[in-house]
Amino acid sequence: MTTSKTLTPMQQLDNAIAILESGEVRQGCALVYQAARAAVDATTTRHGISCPTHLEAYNFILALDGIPPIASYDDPVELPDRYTVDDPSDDTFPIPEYVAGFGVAESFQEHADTPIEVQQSDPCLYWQPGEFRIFYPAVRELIDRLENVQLPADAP
Amino acid sequence: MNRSDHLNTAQLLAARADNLLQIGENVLAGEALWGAIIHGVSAADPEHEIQPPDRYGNPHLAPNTKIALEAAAGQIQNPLFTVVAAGYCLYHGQRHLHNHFYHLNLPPNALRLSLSISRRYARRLLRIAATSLPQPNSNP
Repeated sequence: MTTSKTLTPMQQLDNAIAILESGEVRQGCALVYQAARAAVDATTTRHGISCPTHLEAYNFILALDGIPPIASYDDPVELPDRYTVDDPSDDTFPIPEYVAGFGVAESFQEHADTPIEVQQSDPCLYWQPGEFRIFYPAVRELIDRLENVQLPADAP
Repeated sequence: MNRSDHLNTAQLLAARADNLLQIGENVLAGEALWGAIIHGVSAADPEHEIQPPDRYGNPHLAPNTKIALEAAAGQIQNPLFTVVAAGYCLYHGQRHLHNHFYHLNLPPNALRLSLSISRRYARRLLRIAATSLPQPNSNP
């Protein structure tokens, strides 16, 4: 059997989704996040960057959206004007997409860390079984973006 | 409500959200943005007015569930509003902003990010809806 170490992040995601869909929700959710994190690690490694801690990985994600790093999770995230000020001439509507996708991945981890009985007790606050599916594409898109991202370090 | 009514309501809610953000009422602004997203999806969905009424007489399921949002995204078929975008709307709009309205559970950073992302998606939906609605005949 192929171990996760030899799978690409996208293959890890496929495995995680299969496990989640088989009913192993907690394990599947944890593996979805791990697939996203593996994509971050693969990208940073490819570019000679080290992000061993979660905060460093998060700052790397912020940087990809052009957002300054934070020193701790208590620090405010400074969103550049292009994310907060409307420009009627800009049809692209810039959205911090890496942050959005990573946030979804983090939410899968949160589910893995939250007891099932707590999740079931508050269906408004937590996704219920079957509700995960609409969020798979967001993680898939994040991994795809990370696999194809071009950093300044790539420039000749 | 028809699609034009939804668009008008979405525009009002988005404008109200902007006003609330300017005075620092982020919790209320988040709820207004979630409303703008819901109405924005209904306004942008070309199938909205031809759906059979549900058991409450509404012509369309409110797009506040994964099934309804995913279906609406499939019908809108705009490259700026995909199933991924629907997921982000549900995640940042409902799961973060709407739940925060009731539970006040978001840390400040998460709230601010979700406000920014939801605001952008609400604007995106408004623009898609405004350009996709059938235009009234301008001939006399």
